[in-house]
Amino acid sequence: MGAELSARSSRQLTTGQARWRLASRLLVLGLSLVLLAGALIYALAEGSQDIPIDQVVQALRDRASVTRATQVIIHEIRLPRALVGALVGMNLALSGTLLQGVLRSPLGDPYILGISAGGGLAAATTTLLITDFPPTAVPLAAFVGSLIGAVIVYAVAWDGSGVTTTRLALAGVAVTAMFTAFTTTVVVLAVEGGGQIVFQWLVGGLYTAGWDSFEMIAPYSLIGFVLALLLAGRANVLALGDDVAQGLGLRVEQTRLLMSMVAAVLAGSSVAVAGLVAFVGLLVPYVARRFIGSDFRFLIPASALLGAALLVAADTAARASFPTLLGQAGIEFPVGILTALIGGPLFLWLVRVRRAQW
Amino acid sequence: MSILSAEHLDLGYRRGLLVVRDLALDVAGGEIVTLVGPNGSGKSTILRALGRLLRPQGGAVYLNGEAIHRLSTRHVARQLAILPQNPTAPEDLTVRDLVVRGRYVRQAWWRASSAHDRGVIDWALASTGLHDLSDRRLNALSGGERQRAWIALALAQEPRILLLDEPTTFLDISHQLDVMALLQRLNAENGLSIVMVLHDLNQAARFSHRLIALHHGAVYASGTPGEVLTEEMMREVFQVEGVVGRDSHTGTPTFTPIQSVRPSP
Repeated sequence: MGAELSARSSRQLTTGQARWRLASRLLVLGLSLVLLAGALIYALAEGSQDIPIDQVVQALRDRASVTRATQVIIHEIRLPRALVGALVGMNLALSGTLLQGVLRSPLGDPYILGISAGGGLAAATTTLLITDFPPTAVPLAAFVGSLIGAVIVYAVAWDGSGVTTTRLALAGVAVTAMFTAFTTTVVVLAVEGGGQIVFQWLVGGLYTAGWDSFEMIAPYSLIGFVLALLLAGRANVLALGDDVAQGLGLRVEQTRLLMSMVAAVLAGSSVAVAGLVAFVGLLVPYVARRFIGSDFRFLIPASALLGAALLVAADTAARASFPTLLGQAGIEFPVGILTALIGGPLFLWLVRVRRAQW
Repeated sequence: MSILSAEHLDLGYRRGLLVVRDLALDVAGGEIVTLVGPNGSGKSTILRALGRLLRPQGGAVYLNGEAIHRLSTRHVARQLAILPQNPTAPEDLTVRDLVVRGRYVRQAWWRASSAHDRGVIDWALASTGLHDLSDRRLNALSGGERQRAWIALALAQEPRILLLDEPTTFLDISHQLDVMALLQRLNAENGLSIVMVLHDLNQAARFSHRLIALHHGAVYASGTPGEVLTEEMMREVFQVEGVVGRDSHTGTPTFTPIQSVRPSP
């Protein structure tokens, strides 16, 4: 009787724990959504001309209720840029999440693995050198470039029986240096005095982001996000290691290939509109994992939301808040500088202290 | 009739460098077979090939008479589960999170888990004695509990054959006995066929129907523990001089080592 009672209460306790964990995960997703909403409002309000938040909300509700100038600033300049930033951040974060699943290492990031650089070269070439290349196909070209970058890095890191993340990261650095040199050459050849555009490609920025960029990236973001979610169950099985995963019935190599392809689509499309934004794919999944755990069914939406929020906030800070702080209100920093400033130290810490382990 | 067998099996990790040559073995349904042999004798390599984790360079492994490398990964995973030596999982995984993943091959990705899935998961947890620990994190468990959680993962696949590579190696003696008793019970109650690699020869003799002694990648002897665990086999295969006795409790053969007779280099 007593034993039965204690067994029952312990079972209630355990289901209580499971319920509590689900609730806390949903809470993290909810808070990420709030962060993204906050970042978007910050992006719409801040700039060379500050617009009060109530005006922002009013303009979003009803275009006609605000002045023509406010309308143009919000609907034609800041809104498309914020939405493009959100999608770029989401894509890079998801790409990193998938690559970390593929490698079972926190160093999986499209920027580190030469994937972004390959996409950047392809995007710069098709945009600047081929005059009648259709803009909506640029992300596809970038996807192919990303894949080529990934294959080269993987082939260089392959030592006959496998790859280590350290070798991958080393190969990624070299391939990135080569590809960005080619990209610079392409830009210098194609654009006279294109200093700002070189910046856009190599440091990553949303300087030219408008509705056309949004139309360019949105379909790939949607496809990439849906595919990433569909792969979540397989990624969870892969997380148990190759031998266990295969024993459980997972086609391991096929799953790796699919996850890498989706990561390349996501990274390629974001490079096509924003250039090489560094370390978002490293930083966001790492933080998201801390809060929501390793289960990809939750990690993927959390990374998507936090990646979007991070990039929108960082871009707004880089274009509006920092220049004002430094007393240089007229200039604009590319967002890639900020993400590199935050992500770079994390990368070093992961390599040095965590030895590239979770 | 044999449920799992191998014929003319050549195994190796690099082309032209064979670890196992022309090996034949078979496992009958409901049997517990243990592979024993010194380091480098090819035990783990053979187990990996039997579990379709390693493609043979020659010959074939047959699952219910069909060449296992012609079967799909999913088809094999519905019949056979394999636990490698030192599996690792993400550190925040709970026992239940782990065991649920054993249903991967039984579920279609578009369908939520069914009542049958939940029933099997509960059975796997209960039969490994983990029901009350199911919401604990794996890294908060003792070594023996963790090993049982991995066995529960394999059980959730509803396999007919379970392959295990040194399931007791890192455990203290009471946890070793727990795990072996669990395997014995699963074999007796559910007819689960078990093929495993063990280092402890007395344990192998006590808990197996049949031993296969391996020497330089070939079968030296195969038969009941009494037939295989002999002083001569120990001298030739393990290069150890010793005495074979009888366990007064279980009646199975035991080996007491006296000294190594390995020629000094």
